[in-house]
Amino acid sequence: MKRITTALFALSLSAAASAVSAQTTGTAAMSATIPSILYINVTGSYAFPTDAASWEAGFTAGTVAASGNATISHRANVPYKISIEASGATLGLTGAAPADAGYAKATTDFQIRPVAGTGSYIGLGAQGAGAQLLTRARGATVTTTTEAQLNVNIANDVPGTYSTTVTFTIASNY
Amino acid sequence: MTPATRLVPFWGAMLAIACASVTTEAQTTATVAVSIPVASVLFLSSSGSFTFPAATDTHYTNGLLPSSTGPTLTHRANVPYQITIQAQGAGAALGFANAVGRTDANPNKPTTDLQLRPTTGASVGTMTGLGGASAAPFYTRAAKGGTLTTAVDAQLIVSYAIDPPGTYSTTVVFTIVAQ
Repeated sequence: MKRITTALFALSLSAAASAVSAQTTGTAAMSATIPSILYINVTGSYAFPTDAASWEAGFTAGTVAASGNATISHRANVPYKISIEASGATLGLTGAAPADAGYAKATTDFQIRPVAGTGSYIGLGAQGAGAQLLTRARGATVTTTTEAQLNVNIANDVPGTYSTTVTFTIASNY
Repeated sequence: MTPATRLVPFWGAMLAIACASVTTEAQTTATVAVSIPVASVLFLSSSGSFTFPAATDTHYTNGLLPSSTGPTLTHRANVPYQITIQAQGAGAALGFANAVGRTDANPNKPTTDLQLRPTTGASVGTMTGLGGASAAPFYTRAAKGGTLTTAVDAQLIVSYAIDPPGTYSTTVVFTIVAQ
């Protein structure tokens, strides 16, 4: 009878120990590192009139408006700025008379502004010296349509075809 | 009749009485009460951790950054049970450390932006936001049973408008509870 009692006690102890030692939690560390992400894309182009009447009016007004638009889509997870710069130190010139071929029209004479913006036209920066077009807080995609104009001066601007490629650059504005 | 002769009937009577007494009092059964208390036994262990790739524009555009790896849970119990998930310390926001060179304000990204999903065998669960102040149900096993292994993957909700660059972190606590 004594041996039986001892055995029962041992069983009870074993059951209690199982409950106490059961493992009921586990952990897993999580870490995600997110870099600065900035995105920009551009579609469209700027087109200018080719008829003499439009240029005559433009020389009088001091500007000739572009008929086409370029649209930029942009987004970032940081505050950012978008700058514009030309593909050269000056606007390209072709088709000019030999005597005028050396004329260098400033890139800043080509001006751009967001259509929906309230800002004024921004002169295009020379290559490597972008001019700030707009700034924005971080956020999802925004589409901005831009329009352009060319400052003209009948005393300086020789006949010919002026051209450049505009580069839009998005960068963190901290 | 000698005295010895006179004793024979007496001893004979005594033996007969003794034999009768043994037969009457013999013990033929015995009972012992047995009580074995078996407690609810639940077991859970976790190995591994969550890792994430560096986020890209595609992740932000999709709104989700899926994990590259996740932990594996091992669990069993002698009762039906549930596994819950909660951020360690019961904080409502993920930890945040600025990217090098930046000083963005802590966005206090909610723990629920980290979503976890269990895969046990061929059974794939749904994504569940990580609990903060209170644990969130993550996995339910309707019947008691032996060891199961559950792979856990995760995704982090990301938003251009809200989430600056940096490192977001927490420790996920998995808890198994009887149902």
